[in-house]
Amino acid sequence: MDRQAIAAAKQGNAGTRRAIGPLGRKGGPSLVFDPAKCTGCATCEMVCSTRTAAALSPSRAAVRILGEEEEGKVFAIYCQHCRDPLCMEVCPVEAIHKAEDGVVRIDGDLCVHCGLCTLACPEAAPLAHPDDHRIQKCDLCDGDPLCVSHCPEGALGFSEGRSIPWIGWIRWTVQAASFLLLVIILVGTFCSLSAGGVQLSCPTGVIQNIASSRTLIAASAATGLALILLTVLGGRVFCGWVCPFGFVLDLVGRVIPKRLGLPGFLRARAAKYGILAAAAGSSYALGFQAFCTVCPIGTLCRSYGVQGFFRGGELALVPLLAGLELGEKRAWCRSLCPVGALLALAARLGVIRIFIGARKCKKFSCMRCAEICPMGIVDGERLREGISPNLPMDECIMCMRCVDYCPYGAAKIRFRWWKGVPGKA
Amino acid sequence: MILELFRPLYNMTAAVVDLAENSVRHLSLAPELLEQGLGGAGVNLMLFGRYAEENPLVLGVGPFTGTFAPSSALMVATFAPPGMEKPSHVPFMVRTGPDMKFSGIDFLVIKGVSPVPKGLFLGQGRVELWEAQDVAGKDVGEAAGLLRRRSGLDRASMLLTGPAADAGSPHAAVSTGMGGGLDKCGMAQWMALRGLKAMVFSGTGGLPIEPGDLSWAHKATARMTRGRTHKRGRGCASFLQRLDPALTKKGFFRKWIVKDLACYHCAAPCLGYVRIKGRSRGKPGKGEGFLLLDHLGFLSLMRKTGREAPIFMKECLERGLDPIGVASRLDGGKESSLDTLQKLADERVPLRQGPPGSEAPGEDSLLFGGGIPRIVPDRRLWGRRVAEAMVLGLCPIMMLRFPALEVPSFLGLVQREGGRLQEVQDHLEGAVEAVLEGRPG
Repeated sequence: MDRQAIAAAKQGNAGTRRAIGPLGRKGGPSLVFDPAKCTGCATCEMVCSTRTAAALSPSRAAVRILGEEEEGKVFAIYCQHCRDPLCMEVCPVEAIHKAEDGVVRIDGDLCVHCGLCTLACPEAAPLAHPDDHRIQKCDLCDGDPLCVSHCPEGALGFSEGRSIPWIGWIRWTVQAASFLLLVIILVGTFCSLSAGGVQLSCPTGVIQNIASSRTLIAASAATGLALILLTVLGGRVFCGWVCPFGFVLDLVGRVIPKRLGLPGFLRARAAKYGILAAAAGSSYALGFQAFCTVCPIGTLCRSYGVQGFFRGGELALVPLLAGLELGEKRAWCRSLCPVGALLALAARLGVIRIFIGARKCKKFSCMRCAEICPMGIVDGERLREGISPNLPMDECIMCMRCVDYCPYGAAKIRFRWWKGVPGKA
Repeated sequence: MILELFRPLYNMTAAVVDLAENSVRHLSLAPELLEQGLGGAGVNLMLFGRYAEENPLVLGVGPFTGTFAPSSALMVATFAPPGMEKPSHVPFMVRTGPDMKFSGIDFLVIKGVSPVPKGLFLGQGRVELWEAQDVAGKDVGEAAGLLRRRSGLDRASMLLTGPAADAGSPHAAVSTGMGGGLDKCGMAQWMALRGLKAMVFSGTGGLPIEPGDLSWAHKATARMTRGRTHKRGRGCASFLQRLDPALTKKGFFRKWIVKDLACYHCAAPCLGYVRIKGRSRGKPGKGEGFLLLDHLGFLSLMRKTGREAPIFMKECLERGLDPIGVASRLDGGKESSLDTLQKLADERVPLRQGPPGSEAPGEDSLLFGGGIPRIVPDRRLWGRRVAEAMVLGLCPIMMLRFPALEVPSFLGLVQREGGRLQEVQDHLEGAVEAVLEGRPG
């Protein structure tokens, strides 16, 4: 069949189908499976086959329930309606297409049952019938999946994804307010702030102070503990929500159309610990807080406000380091910031963490969390392998973009000792 | 009229396999069989009567097997156990029934004796005979894997016997591949004596359904199960507790059973996956487990072996042994060891003069394989409910657990108006009576 005929056939088919809804910022429509609820009764297969084959024939279903006999686990195979479907790419007759509503459909009239799509799909979701090799693939029943409405246990659900990143709006507001407060209104107060009888200090500054003065004054050291305590309780929220330089980096990052990448030595996350050690060491050797003179956070607070010093060298520092955004998102925070390094050490003791749960996570078919994470800690390779990643919380700045943007609600904030998996109803 | 209602629920195909002649004869299902027997154990019994001289094994599905009826998972095997007056009907659930029906064969008569181990493959309306010498002597799990690879179907259902039957053990039982079965009346011995090692059901076919029938049938099913298969008391652990409240005080079940599982289209799961944490004797078994399908067998082993019951159960399943029979031979002391179990599996004795259900459940229990728990105290009511399920192709355990699920509501699944239901019910009464009396047609 020539291409024109194929296109005409597609157009004809598309005209008869009801659209689920435009994709927009949503993750796209998909089934959501909860293996904890599934009992393996295969009702979904039976009802699915009444649509795919007009028969009671579970082997013709587009969803398949499989049991892991050794472990007693049950899991479902079904089309994830990937954002960039591999099955569509490999189909030699262009029988598979992704419609505007996000549903990946297969045109039975065009399909030649070659089975390439079953090999290309990481989930093996296009199912070839063992007798005649006809391909069955979920089309979400045009928005009202039978398997979902008939599942006696409620193990299958239907999601069109979410579209309102409200955490992001709150975070931008908090970041802007923090910037206004620390940079514009209270000049120089990030390094040391006195509020009433309480004194708060930058913990890195405190370490340098101790090193340079070679004297440990408990009262002085305690002033740096507030940020450490905050990090233990809430992760690196300072980096993600309060840090004025982080806010600048986020603003710069929004206007950069394409990242150019960074050389290897600037991408080493361990470098920041070296810089922290160097800051303490140089302060000890030189007798003054050496790193503070070039700290972009302190510089920003000291030099850019209405009462700032506007010293030439310091003015240049912030744009220079912000320029690292051209290479990678939050490159300074990932690899260089000694304040972040100190907080990362505290975050390792943190009581909360972000879980990306296996039940709702769409893994390779979505990967939105891996795309939007500014710290690049969501392991895309594991997602491509179909494994939900563990996030290293010492590197996470708690921006919660993964929680916010996950269309299927798979990313959740939980206590560290929580044993469950997100997505449990 | 019955035929008119039930014809769409059948392939209308039967087959007769002669193991001695290595031949298969495919037949159209005679209308009078359905008219009189309706299906399942009813038709099995009539076919058994026709070939009674050759003491056949008859496999059959009911009209509702594989359909929208709740828990429509049943396949029935009918044969004459030695020492019993009536033919016995052994139920097989999980997916065995639907897979047999979707293999294109409704009823299968097996007769004759093969000199070498044979296997049967059912698929696309055909029955094939295989050489099964390579499967003989292997553990059930290993044999099941081998048969699946040979058939090229990773989900094929099957019935097979284990090494215990190959060795001639009186406690051998037919297994469904993973979780054992409910054969406690000698079907495995029948198969072993006839040289029938395994039966594999492809389940790749189907029954046509009219557009619109889906929503109607779903609504009818929802009406039936609403408020009856309620959430409370569901699951394998709850079911075991109900069967033996005395044992449950120790709180064993909830610790062991890590997942509730269900048969085909069942909204009231009573199967479970039991995980073995570690073996106190023998080789370590961390991470191992099994599908718990035989509740009575597991409880019998628990009474004798306590916390080691999962290990013994797993060993029974691997060897193709009946746990009730094994439990009767364990004395709970030193003899309760895996060595004893191995001895039982290897025991070569002449075919026993009576069913191996050694806890003496009585002949009326063995009429249905010996593995269906007596949930209903009234023996007559129990027999009737089980017989109805066996004829209609429904899970007898669910029929017993939910007495409010009445037969007329199931019959309503085949007729929207309900005008001829009385006539169908009369036929069902006749079939049930025949099954209970063991009266071959």
